[in-house]
Amino acid sequence: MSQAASPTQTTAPASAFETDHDAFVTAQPAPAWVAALRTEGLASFRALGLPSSRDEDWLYTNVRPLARGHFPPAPASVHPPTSLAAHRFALGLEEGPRLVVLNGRYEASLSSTAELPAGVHVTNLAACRDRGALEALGSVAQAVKHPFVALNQAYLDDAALVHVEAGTVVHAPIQILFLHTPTGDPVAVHPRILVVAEQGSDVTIVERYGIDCIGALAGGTCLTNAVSEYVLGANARVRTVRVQREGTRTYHLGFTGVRQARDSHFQSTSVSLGGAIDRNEVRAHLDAEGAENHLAGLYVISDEEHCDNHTVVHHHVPHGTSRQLFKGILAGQARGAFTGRVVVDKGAQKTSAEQANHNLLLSQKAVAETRPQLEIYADDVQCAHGATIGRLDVDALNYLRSRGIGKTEARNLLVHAFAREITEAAGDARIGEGLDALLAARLAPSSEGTQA
Amino acid sequence: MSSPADTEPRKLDLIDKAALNPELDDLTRKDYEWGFVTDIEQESLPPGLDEGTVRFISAKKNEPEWLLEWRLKAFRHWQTMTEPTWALVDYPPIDYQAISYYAAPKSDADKPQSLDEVDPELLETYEKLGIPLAERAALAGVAVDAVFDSVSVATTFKDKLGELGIIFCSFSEAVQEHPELVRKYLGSVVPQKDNYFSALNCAVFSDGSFVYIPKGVRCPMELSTYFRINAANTGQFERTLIVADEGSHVSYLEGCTAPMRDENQLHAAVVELVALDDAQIKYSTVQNWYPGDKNGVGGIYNFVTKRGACRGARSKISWTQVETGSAITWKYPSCILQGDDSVGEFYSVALTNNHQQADTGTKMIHIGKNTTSTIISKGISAGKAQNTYRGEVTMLAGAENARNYSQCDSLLMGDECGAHTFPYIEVKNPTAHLEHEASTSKIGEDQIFYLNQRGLGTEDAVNLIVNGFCKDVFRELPMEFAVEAQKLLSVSLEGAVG
Repeated sequence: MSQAASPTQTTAPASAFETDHDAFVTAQPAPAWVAALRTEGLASFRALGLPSSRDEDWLYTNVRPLARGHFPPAPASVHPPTSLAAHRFALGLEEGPRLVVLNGRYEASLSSTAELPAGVHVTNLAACRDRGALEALGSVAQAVKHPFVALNQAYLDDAALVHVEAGTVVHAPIQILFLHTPTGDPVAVHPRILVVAEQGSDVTIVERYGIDCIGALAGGTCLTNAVSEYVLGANARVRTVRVQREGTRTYHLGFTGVRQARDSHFQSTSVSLGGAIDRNEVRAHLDAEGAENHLAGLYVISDEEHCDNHTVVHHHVPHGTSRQLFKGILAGQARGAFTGRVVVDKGAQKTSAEQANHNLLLSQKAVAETRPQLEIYADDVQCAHGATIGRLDVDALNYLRSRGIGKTEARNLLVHAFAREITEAAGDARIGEGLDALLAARLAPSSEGTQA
Repeated sequence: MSSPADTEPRKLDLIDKAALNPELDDLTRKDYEWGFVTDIEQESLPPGLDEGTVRFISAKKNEPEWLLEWRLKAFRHWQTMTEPTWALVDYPPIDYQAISYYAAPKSDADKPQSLDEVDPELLETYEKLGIPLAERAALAGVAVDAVFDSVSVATTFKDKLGELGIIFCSFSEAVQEHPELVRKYLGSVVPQKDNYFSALNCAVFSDGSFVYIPKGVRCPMELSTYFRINAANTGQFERTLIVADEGSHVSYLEGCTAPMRDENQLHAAVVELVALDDAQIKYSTVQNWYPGDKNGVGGIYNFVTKRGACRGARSKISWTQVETGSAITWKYPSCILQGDDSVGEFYSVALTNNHQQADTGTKMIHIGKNTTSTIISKGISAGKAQNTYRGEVTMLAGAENARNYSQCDSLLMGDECGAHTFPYIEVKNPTAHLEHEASTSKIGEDQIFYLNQRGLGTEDAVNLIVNGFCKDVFRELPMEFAVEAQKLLSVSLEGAVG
């Protein structure tokens, strides 16, 4: 299809991820079908190897620290928290249906699925006896195509599963929390989500990645290698909000795969609040006519953090619509990257695709990189993209300051306004407010020392 | 998930379109007009590439030892490199041993001293190409350095330029007569190890043009080079070096053609521009290498490295290109904006039809303060062609107040072609300001209809629309070239709208 679509083949010696696998399989026995998926994942990971920055898809993210380090699967949490209320991370959603996965294991005591209407099944993989309704697992995020999806599948343990039956409308957002306890040593968790929204259903999913104690954001090194799959039936509407706040020493690799049937509507808002390496990938396939896909993303990073948003929206058929809007707020020596690709297949006429990436540089040493890409094989289409990189408007700052607003406050006000377009896109007012609060908390500590 | 009915493209649309404009198909099928072969005695090396080839070329050119060493160093490095695969082009592997690396008209030993001595058959070739080499040169006010296969054939207006201290000669001549200038600047913009094709060029380049404009001189006429690949199975590896000293100004034109042949031929040129303080270089290209036939057989592989360095403060380099030929184009004319307040510009029209593939764009590297760059790229894709814009804008930490504006538009004609946009943007300074815009759309059916209604044939309507689409770029071309470019465009497009 395109250049460098397949990761570089490497013949490097087996990485720690491969050598750890035997111990993992012994420690976490699984039904035969899960074991088969694990074996398949490991084989694909072996074949693909870790990507290098010579690979076009990984140009802006260097995963060498992962190859050098050793990230064994995280052990079970010794003292699981008793309540989530204390979480700064709460997003105003302490109540309501939720699944909590702690260090890769489902925590029944913290989860609550009682209030869900009939027709919605929220469960975890370990509770499923056979594959049954999980046929879709691995069909959207395919191990053979992506080394980290393969790795996730190799370490498939527990997974959050949401199945919405045809015509079911779920009003309350369903929260899925992946938490891990920072320990002294580096560990890895491989969160997995499968959402199947059948014909005419309507659901909001909130994916959250964080650590289970407050004030430890600068805590231990962790690799989170998350994979989420969304399968949308005809006319289904799925909104998802993804918040990553695992701390400055986390390596977060997120992969979201989406398949959309006729007239379905998928909307995603992702908010990344820092990490040593934070990579968010979205691969969306518009398989049938009339499908609509909206991706919005915000990344707020500082110090030596790195965030890379990488999207591919693939229009396979005519009459598809896609919109992408990603915004970066970069301070300190942070590096923010965006690669977005819209692929319009031959014959996918009447496609409408837009793509935008805007970056705000708040410090001398922050770096923004952006690659909005269009790959178009049909003629009757409307596709556009745009990118900007700049700093805060000095006139606007002076205007605010001349009205008695302090320098830091004025700056935060403008930064907030810049970000607002994304937090508002989440659709749900409560979630939007929660995101705003998170953003305010994120901006506060970084405001010193990053004054231009 | 999706039924077959869902995935079936809407065939109705396509049929309707073809019915609407039946003559369009004929339009695209117009033949390559420059496909003649000149039957003159050639002196060429047998195909093959090793150190001996490099030494042969160097000896043939009577080159000094340092240049031979320079070539060998490049060759040895080239052997360790692998061909790049990141471009969105598709071609069978090139056998570098099957190419002849040197071909010259036989009369090389006693090179013609004036136009009268030039082989009349050769002059006829240029006549067919329509370049104003002889008397027509005077009328058009163009000084031409014509490169035929690998050797520079004749340079006109040398004396007149000499009075002003301007050096405009073939590269081989420059090596003999101005070794200090060549040595100082050769490889200073595109290093030997820069990329696979430039390294190959460094090893085996045979000729090209050299221009030096002394301090404060404004070159009174457009300088021009015409390239032509005539011999079969040869590659053309020319090298152009233009140095504009402080406060000088030059406009340089380049045109290319090749005969029709069934096999693919390789063209891997390197162009280096150096602009010192307050100097301005304007480099215009109309590239019309043989694009292959309607089925994608034959044609030139145009793998070219062009780069300009704005070394001095307030210097300016402007690239304008009209790319209509070549089976495959792989070309990124770039500007390194080193000097404070320097300016880089890139204006491009790239047209691909039938099975042509183009992966072209620019790189703007902002290093100095207050540097500005503008990128205007217009891609037109028809038939079964693939047209890619790939451009990089980098603003380094020291590039205070740097500005860039990029606009990349694509026009699609027909439902089997592709248009792609791959910008790479990297900003390391918060005072830098950057905007990138791109759009892709098909040629407007209602626009064609509107023009039809007013009595214009579909062909004229398409030409009008396309010329309007490309206006921003044509405006930058020198007059004679603008006319040629418009003509080329309409020829290359004939029949493209469906």
